[in-house]
Amino acid sequence: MQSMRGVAYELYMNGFIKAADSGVFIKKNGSVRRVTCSYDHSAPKGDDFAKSILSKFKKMNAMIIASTEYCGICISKRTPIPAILDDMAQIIGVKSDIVNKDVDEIVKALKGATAVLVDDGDDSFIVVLGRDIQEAHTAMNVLEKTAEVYIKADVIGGAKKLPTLKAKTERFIYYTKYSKGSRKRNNENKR
Amino acid sequence: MRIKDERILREQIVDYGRELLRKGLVQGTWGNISIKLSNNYMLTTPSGFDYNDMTPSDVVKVAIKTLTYGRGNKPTAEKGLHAGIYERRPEVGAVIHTHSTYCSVFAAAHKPLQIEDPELAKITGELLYVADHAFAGTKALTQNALKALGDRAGCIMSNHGMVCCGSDIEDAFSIALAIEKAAESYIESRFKKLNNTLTTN
Repeated sequence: MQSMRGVAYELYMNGFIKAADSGVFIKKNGSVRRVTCSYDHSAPKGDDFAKSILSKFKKMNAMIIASTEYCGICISKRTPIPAILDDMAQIIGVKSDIVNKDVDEIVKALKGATAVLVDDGDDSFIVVLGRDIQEAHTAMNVLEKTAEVYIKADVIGGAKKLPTLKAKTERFIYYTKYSKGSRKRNNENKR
Repeated sequence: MRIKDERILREQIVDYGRELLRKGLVQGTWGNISIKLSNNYMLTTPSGFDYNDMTPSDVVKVAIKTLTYGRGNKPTAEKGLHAGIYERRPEVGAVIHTHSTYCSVFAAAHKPLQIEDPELAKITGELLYVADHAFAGTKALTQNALKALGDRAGCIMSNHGMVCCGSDIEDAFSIALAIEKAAESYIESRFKKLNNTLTTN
């Protein structure tokens, strides 16, 4: 299991933390704080934006705000990312929408899915929530993979979306059953 | 002798699980591996485990015919798929299920994968069919995958990923890598052409 600082370090090293307000954030005892690592001395420090989003979600304790290649392409084309793969449906939801950089719009979009694409011109980014840092990190990787698959599937006829009911069922099963074991173990490891 | 063999196979599952993660063929706790222990039993990755945290003792021994297992960790939700392959294909010694990026392109497009590189085709076969979509862990998913797999080395699973099999775990892992490489080659050659055309126009 990767530590919080390990996740933050990896994201900084890969150049994903570059937009204003981006970073890795956790919520503990109701208080939101940025996860720092040895690499982020020149990182953006706009914590208020992140706090105003993560504090709105009771069950979510981690958030990643990052800029990734294929999600960036989807944002520039104003193309929301649909659930074309089971893992996206499970960990994120039926669709990851595109919204403007407005806290209310972002929070509204995150009520229906755990990730949203935010169009802020050249400084666009994604916001991904998780019940813990590992879940948020996995969700970010799955979203980026899905964006790449969605774009590249065009050369062989285009991706087929999962029917909405199937995608919702996948998500329900993941949240109520599949992910419980791994989250329980993560919590045990933290102790 | 049997105990020693099982210990080695458990270690192999852990090692190859980490390799799957390192090569980007799986994300998080998704994807799974199994090795046939005997005609009656298989060893599988546990459900919902981070590959980096897994130890040989976390690996689960599952009865192939009944899918029953002892106390402790639950086996992968795809145990039925693995068992189904061992029952249908006696020559198979290991099964790997991935959520790799380029196989996922074919999975999302519901398109079979034509292996264009003759060297890779020697490892994977020339064509991988697509299994119809079904929920993970269901009998329908097993049946659809077995139908698409036939006697081939692997198949694409609609909106899901890829499953492949080999005589042992080393063979299955080589096949998984070769299939992903073939899928990447197919997609990237066309993607570059498309991008060049768009740039030229």
